[in-house]
Amino acid sequence: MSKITAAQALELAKDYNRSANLIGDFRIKNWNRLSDEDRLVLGNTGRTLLDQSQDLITCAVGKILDDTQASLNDIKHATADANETIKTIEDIKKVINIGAALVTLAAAIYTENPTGIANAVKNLISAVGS
Amino acid sequence: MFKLRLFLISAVASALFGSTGCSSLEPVAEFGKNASVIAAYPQVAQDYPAILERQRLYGDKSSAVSEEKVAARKRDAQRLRDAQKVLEAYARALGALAANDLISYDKEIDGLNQSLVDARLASSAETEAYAKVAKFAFQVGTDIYRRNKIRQLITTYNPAIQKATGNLVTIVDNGYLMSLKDERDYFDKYVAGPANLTTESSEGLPEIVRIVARNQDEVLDKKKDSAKALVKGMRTFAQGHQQLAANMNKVSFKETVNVARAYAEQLRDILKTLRS
Repeated sequence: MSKITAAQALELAKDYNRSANLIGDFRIKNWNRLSDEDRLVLGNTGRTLLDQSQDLITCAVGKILDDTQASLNDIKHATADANETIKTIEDIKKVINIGAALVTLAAAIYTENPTGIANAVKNLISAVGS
Repeated sequence: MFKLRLFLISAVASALFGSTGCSSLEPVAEFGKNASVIAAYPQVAQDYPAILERQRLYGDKSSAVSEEKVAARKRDAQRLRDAQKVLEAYARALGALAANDLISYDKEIDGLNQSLVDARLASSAETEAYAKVAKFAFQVGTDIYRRNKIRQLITTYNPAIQKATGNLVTIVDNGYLMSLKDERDYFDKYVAGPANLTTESSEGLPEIVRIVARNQDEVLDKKKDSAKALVKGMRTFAQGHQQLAANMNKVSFKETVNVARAYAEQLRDILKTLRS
């Protein structure tokens, strides 16, 4: 198995399935004309071919997944890059919000309004922390 | 003086916005969003090891369906899910980056203006006029920035996207679907079919076999249809991404957005199949 590629293994699996189908159809179509032994041999052969096909698929899928890993790592970088850009754009919004909170705080301090100062400080903390 | 200044700012902003070939990136956002939902479809990976377990129920005792092989498939099913999640996250991030609300500063600038008015640093009339320009300018600035980023992401990482989606399509199309066909053929040709022929003397039994076989066929048909929809969705995502990468530096962004719109619509139709 180690000497064949994943693509070859999948191609072979398809061929085995085709052969198993031909045998299965022939066996059912000629059921009454076949001896018990013929039915048994043909049944075992067809089932073995389907099992071989499943085996080849199990092996090929593992190999393809191995082959995909490097690309997936690249895509992870792309996602991190995109999310970083989104964060940068959202940070601009955050800066505007902080500006608004600072203006409100300055006005509250200027008018010596204690409740206003307390609320403005709360808003500023919230804007910085968001 | 104030009006003149405002006019000049507007003119500069308009010129800037015009030079970007301004068009909504919403189709790119929808392309990313739809692709992420398709990439996340979990049923195929979940069913991949279960095929061997069902085949054991049909009486198969070979090494192909042994515990060892089932365990190998379970490991690969997890790796397949992980790979799907990587593609899902990428498509989702691409969609979020292209979403209109990302570069809308209306809420923030309105908040700032209200603060200026409340603090009596400016009048409502003054801030309203400035706000329009500020919203526009911020939007233009970040739009240029993100368009360049989207262009860079799509063109730089397109080879990785093509390779990963190509491999996942092969796994589902030639691996999972073939395996499902093996299971079905095993059941139809070597279990239910012969059982029908050999139980003629046992009253009622052939009918039960037929009912079980019909039900099983329906279950497997549904799995097959879902897997085919996943393959179609992954292919459409890969083709759309390829087209975007190929067009990015050749045509205007408006035309690129039209490409994204066409593929976003195709993905939406495939999504309906997966959800049905």
